[in-house]
Amino acid sequence: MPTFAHLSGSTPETWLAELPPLDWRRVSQIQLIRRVVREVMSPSALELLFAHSDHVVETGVDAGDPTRLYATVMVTMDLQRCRESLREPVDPATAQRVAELLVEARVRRRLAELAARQLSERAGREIPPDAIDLELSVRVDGCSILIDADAVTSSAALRAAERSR
Amino acid sequence: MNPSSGTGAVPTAPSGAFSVAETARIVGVPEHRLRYWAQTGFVVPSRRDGGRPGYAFRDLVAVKVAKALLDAGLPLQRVRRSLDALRAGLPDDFDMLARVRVRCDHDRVIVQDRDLVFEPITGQLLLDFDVGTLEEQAATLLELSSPRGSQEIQRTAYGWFLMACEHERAWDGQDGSQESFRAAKHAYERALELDPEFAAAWTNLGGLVARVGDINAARDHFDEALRCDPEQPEAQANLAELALRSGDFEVAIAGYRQLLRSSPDYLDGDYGLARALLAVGGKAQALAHLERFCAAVDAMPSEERSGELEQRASCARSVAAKLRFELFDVPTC
Repeated sequence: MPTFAHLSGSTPETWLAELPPLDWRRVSQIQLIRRVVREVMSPSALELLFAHSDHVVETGVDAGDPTRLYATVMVTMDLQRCRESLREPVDPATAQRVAELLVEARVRRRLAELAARQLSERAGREIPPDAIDLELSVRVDGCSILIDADAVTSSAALRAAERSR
Repeated sequence: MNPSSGTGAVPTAPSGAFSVAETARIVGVPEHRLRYWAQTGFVVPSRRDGGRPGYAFRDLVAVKVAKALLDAGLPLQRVRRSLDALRAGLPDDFDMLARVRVRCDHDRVIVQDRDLVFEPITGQLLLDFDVGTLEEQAATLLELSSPRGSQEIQRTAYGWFLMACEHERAWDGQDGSQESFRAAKHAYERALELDPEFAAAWTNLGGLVARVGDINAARDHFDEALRCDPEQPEAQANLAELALRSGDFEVAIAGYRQLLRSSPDYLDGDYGLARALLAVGGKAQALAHLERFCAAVDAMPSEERSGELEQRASCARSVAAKLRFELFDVPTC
């Protein structure tokens, strides 16, 4: 059985040296029909990921402006947990692709709903998700996708949300 | 077109102007630099040929002077001033122009003709060429490029493209002085003159010049290919590979990711991305992409796998096994 013990401490150059570079690609045949590939999260996938996720929501009040409430939403989605339900291989490359697709309206809505629930408790009145401004960042750690969202609401945002309804 | 080599009859291109490619070959300045000079107003071609820039013979003189002064280490601003003065001082008449001699004497640029001596502006040494010689070079090039029969005159852009591919197949892929290389390059350039939106020709021309080390020109050509066809996988792969070879790893990773988004089945995407990720230490993701690459190769019918692909797949399997061992202590395939 190979041990590859000699590889411990290998540098990126060592690894690259073992993989021949790609030669320059040329077009030898003209493609008649081009497929247009559009990748999105399937509706069931989003449900599945949120169902298997951990989330923490922290809320607070802006010291300078008490009408301004904020929340930090942290969501961890571990693809390993739901690997049996997934068609794609569960590995860091898939996690990366999913992370790129997570910055979309439906995900923002789910995060705003999570924040709204906690902010409503904090404020003692209902705060609708559409009164919340959200800053989103998504990163990947192995097969886990980590979402951090900063949610902010204010009386002005609440009035605007009410007017738009 | 009637190319001539005698002093006093300045050669003209078929349209009365030299193309960017022809000018580059005559004066020895890369095409991408000529385009850059034109964009920045440094040396602007004075003619238009069917919407494309065309260099008159006096423009060739200006380019030649600019190159010599820059090679001599003069600051750009001084070269620019010299060129402005030179343009104003050069004779308009072609017969006179062909007799002109341009030289630098210490810190003066001197344009000399039988009846005319002037120093356009202060500069520094090192420039001394006979415009008549430049004329002969231009005439020789035009003779080489001139149509040899009515069949060639009527060749379409695609016809030139096919001809270029044929020449490229005959080339050894390394020696830029071989006739097959020059013929392939010329044919791609002709294809692009006829159809500047011919993405495949831009890509192949880029690959051709990349193989002889003209990386900047290659990058320009791949960029042009993607301007014409934003999702062409070959140009995307080449630009990403070029970034990887240049040490611009983040650009390479982004390029390969984009390639995989638009062409998920393009084999080079996973392989190239794995290499780029390894360059920045992203071993876990690199492993995943190597595994995808190996699985895709294994799924191909054996008769469709080239020797080069088999070799890369073999290397990929070996590296994937080592990565598995390093990451998970699992030395299995």
